[in-house]
Amino acid sequence: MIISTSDSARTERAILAWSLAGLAAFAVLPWRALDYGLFDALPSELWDAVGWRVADWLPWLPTVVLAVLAVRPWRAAAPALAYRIDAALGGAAILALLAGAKIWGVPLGLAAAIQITALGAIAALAAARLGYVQGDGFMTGSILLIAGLIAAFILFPLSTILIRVVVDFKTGEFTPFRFFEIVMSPGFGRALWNSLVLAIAVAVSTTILGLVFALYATRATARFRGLIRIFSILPIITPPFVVGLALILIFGRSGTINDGLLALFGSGGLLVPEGGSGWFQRSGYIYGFWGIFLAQTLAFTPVSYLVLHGLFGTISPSLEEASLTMRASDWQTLRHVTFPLLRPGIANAFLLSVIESLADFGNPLILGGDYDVLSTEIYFSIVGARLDYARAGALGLTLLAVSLAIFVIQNRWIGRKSYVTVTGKGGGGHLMPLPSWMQNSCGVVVYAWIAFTAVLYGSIFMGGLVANWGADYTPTFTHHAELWAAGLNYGGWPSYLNTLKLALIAAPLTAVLGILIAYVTTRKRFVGRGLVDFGAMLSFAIPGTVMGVSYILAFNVPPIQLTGTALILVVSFIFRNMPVGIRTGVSALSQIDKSLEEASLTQRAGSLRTIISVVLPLLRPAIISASVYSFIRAMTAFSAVIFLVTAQTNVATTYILARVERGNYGVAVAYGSVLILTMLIVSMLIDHFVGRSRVQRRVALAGGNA
Amino acid sequence: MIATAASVGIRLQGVTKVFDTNTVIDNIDLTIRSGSLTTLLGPSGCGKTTILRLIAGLETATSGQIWIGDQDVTALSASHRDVAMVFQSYALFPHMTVGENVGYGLKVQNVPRAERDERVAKALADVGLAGFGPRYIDQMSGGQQQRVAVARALILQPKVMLFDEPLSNLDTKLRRSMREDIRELQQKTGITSVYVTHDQSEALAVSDEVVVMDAGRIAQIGTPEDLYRRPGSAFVATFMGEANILDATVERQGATLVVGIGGARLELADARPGLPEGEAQVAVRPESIRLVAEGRVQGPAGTVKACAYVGAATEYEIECAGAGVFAIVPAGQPVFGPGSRVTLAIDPVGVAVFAETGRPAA
Amino acid sequence: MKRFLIPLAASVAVLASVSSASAAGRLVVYCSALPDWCEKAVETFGKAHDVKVSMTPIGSGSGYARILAEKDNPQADVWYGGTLDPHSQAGVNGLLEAYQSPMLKEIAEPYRNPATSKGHHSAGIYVGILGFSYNTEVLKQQKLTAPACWSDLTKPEYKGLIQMANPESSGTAYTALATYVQLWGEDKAFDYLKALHKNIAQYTKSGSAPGTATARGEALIGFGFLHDHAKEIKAGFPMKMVVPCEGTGYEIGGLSIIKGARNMDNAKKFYDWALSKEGQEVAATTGSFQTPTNVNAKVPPEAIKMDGVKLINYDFVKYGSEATRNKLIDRWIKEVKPIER
Ligand SMILES: Nc1ncnc2c1ncn2[C@@H]1O[C@H](COP(=O)(O)OP(=O)(O)O)[C@@H](O)[C@H]1O
Ligand SMILES: [Mg+2]
Repeated sequence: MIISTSDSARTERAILAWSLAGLAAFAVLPWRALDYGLFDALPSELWDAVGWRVADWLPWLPTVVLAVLAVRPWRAAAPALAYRIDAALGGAAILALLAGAKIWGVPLGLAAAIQITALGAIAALAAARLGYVQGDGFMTGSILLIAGLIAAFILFPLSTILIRVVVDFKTGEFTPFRFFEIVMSPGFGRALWNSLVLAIAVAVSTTILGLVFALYATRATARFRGLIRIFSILPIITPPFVVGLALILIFGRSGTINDGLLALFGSGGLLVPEGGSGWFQRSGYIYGFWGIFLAQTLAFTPVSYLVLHGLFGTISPSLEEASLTMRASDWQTLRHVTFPLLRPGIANAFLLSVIESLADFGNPLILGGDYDVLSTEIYFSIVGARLDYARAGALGLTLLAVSLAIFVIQNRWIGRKSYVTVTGKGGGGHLMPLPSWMQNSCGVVVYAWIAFTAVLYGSIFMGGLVANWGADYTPTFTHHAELWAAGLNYGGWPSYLNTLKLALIAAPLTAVLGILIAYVTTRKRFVGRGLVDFGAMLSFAIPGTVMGVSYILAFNVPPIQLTGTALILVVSFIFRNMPVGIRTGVSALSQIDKSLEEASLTQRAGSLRTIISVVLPLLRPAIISASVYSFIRAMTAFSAVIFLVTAQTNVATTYILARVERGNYGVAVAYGSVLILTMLIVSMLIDHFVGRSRVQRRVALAGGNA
Repeated sequence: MIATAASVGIRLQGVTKVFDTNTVIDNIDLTIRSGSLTTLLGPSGCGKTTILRLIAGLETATSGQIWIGDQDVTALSASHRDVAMVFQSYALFPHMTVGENVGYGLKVQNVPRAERDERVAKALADVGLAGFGPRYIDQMSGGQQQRVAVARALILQPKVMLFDEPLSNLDTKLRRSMREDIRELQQKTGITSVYVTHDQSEALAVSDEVVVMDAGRIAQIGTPEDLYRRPGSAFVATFMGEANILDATVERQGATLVVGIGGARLELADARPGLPEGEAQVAVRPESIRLVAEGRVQGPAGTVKACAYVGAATEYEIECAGAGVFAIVPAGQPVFGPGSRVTLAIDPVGVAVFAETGRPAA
Repeated sequence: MKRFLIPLAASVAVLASVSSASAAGRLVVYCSALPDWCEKAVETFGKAHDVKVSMTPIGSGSGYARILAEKDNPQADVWYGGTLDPHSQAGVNGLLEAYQSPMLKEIAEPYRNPATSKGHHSAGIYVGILGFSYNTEVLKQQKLTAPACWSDLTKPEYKGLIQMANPESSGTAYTALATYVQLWGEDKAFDYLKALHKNIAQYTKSGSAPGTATARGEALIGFGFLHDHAKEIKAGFPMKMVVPCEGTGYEIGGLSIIKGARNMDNAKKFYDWALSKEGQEVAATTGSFQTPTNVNAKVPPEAIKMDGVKLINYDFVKYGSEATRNKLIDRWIKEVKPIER
């Protein structure tokens, strides 16, 4: 009985501490959201937003509940009943607060957020005492937090899109058939068709290229294999449409190729007879399907390469060796053993590329020409000449449904069917080298790619250093000077620093949240896991434009009013990149024997302690790599943020886009090149300082035990 | 080793565990005596580990209650149950040294550094690893890792120790000596221990009491000797060592049971009430069968199908009334080649009648 | 552990270091003019009146979208610049505050109360003329004649050489569409658009893109508001502006106060300032060459001179209305866009 009472005492102390924290927040912190953001607020504005100074009774609701919870008049009741009252009261107060804020239009601020957290924590502690999640208070709290965040920042925004479709925005009328009207309109079908055709074409090409690259990188004997890695990483650290921009510099109407052809075959060209008019005219062939196709192929091939490359590593060489001992030739072995083993991986890479292509917004935006796809149509439904949230919503829901369907196929069907499971019995042996004819033909593709990428990146860097690409190639620093020499408050600096700041804030939070989600979904069983799983899955499939639209619709009005603040960007980065954290977490956790945590639990460490002392050290490499990747993705984020930025919270990508729209390519690529360099340096620094540590090697070892 | 606080027993009451729709533990009642070493024995997948994890608090029972001593721990989390567990994979933290691993629980309890070091050193010495503290886990052999895991479990002087197939990753020789060591440590400390294994000889060697499990239920509980001599079912008989399950007639004659097998009449001293009479199945241990040339004695007759010389004995497979019978005959007895007609001479000591029939173990 | 905490601590430090200023008050401006102009305007105003001004550059369509979305809880106080149509729409939909500025007396008559609602919800701060420009070098290279009228543009020799914005996404392109309808009647206008369609190289998403493309020689001819083109010419590009001979439409730059503005006093101050001579002369200093509506303001030399320009009597009430707009754009999507070219 000794433990039991001390346990109860501990829970009661924790409940008291949380109640007091909530009360303290009410006393001194701004309870109401600040109109100009917390960090830009004037002292008087801060003071007027403090809970008890707000002329409204709503702040008193959670405060009174917290005060009651601090006293716990029912403390003498049977524990099961008392904890039930705590949990019910905490949960009910949160719901009532949110409903009240929504109905009376009170935007919630910092103190309210703290009070909600406190009420949630109390409910979690009490629920744990009732046996939820093996009686684990910290885990219950984490799960509640995750579920709350997913509900607030994924499910709720998406639901507002749905509402926009069925309720007219301007008149408030109920329009149940609006969705079908929009779907039947001519532009809709074309955009859907275009999106699908493009996505499939891109996925075919990226999968083939990814396969060629992976084959070459793992099996070729050539010396320059290392180059592949660098060139396959480059597009990942490049803002999405900067590749498209480079394509314009090379292939655009006044791009290098057009200039060259014009100089040779155009009117008055070198190869045109005197007085002839020449057959060549500038062409806009790059604008439209082929332009987007090329840009997306460049951008997404690394993804499929990385998927397939990872898979190659898991194929046990002994399978190939077995085939070779049965007198199969190299080619026969590849054909009948290796490729069939890769099939699920190939399907995986293919579907991932389809999802990426569907979601891509930057490239279709600047290269699309008349080729409308769903993501750009969503954007222009809102910013275009006519404002139609219902149309944006219907397009968004369609895009979401398509990506979700593909994601489900990819995740459930391919994921389960993978033959290449890690058996831990890799054993020795060598991967078979490619037959020489294959090595040569793969080599041609690989080096052509590398050369092409080099030209594109060269043009990005050079484009920022010449007066006017396409017209005047005089070397100059004017573009960079315009961006960086006018002081920190002008040119590129505000957006650059802002992006850096927001990405730095968001990255570790993204990694931690993602890995926490991975942890609870893979390691814990609890009621409500379905919701967390579903929310996490949605976050994988949700395209940026859909997220952007849903955020402006959802967070414009109380209870959670965030539009115009930097916080909404941070939040969008976190939930947009959360899949990165989840994926990294899931794969890292699968390498760590679950019994390590259990051993810690039976050593009387609570789950918080276990996470800090056992899980985090083992996951450190995963956390770092997830942080770096989230940082890079936040720095290059575009499709969602374009809906969310303001002048104060302008970010690099939207700044560049504004320059592109004004035809200011020089400045745009100058900025782009600085951004690329930044991310290159950041990732190299982290690689250098963190490297492969002792821990990492030991983690690999622990994996062997599992 | 420091003596523990008064040891306590463990009680499971109507415990059921369902994973998804799969009932893995089916309404089990089980009492484990305080201070004893009780083994859970059963084929792979029968739910041994699950029971251990239920006791440890790593799984929550779907229904039923678990008591440790006089405390209902059913809703208590693992870190509050005061149990220690030695995992099958040892679960040693790869990012900590041996000393840090063993001292982890003390550190969690905020035991001061000096005391911690002292206790770690002592615990390591107790398992024969004095001086290995600064090493990393990957610098230890399998047997040493095993000892580290035991030291880590013992150092907190838990009320209950749980071992999940602790020896399964070791080679045969090491296994034998380790199990002696574990037994010795347990007896010295008197900590109530539950030990899971699927190896019956290991179970027989270390346990005070053995719980034989079959598909999520308890098949029989008893001392090793009990289980071997008086198996309660064909399953237990075949799982605890080898046994031939043969059709027989059973008759009660005063203080003895008379078992008739193919003409032979065997008098059994074990005549507990509740054993069936009439047509029944009985278990016959292979080493209690001797072979004689056909017709020399009364008894079941058969044909030798195969024989194998295995050093200390000869093993026979005999076709007998349509059933296969397995016999182990010590060296020095006459040898019969395949095809020979023989009569089985059965020693009643090796015959068991069970209260329930049922399938034999696979 | 430490390595993991450092970025977190750094983030918090960065977050905390964001300054908070103090000023006599605040003002939030949605600005639909070019960003340089917007920045200069709020900076000048903010300094002159000691007001902490936040400015969000936002396209005119998006501006309307934003204000509509925020109608229950307006985030901005003033909407500055951008073509009048969306201002008109906002006024009709009750999103704007009526305000008769004392400065209106300095504004040319037609621009004092131009919006559909006729309730002083918006004023005109500049006039921009619709037209097209051609790239003189490309013209020379291709040995083509310079166009002077809308009707010239349907000649086959310009096939694939003209850029125009897409009226679905661009207010500029819609103004052109509405201009043709007012010039020739709806059916004739669509016949013209269909003929023009054959020559279009690309419909751009944004209204200013054809001008920049023409300046850079990516297109021979680009549609747009000529003040945008004037800027390119000033920057040295070989481009010549054309005010089409048939007559043309124009845009009025809107200025409105948002209903329920949190900083109503400052909003009015800004409104007065934006109508004043000083306020209107800011544009030219940032290279925007519209014609100011304040009769006292200097007309920049680069701007199109109004005399000699044939302007239609643009009906902002009718063509600014949503019904007409949707009807015309839908018709364009149905009849013009799908034609092969
Ligand atoms: N976490 C789990 N989820 C689903 N089924 C499980 C889980 N753990 C164990 N089982 C199932 O429960 C049964 C008993 O498992 P276990 O207790 O590990 O058996 P043993 O230790 O006796 O070999 C097995 O059929 C196993 O598949
Ligand atoms: Mg087991």
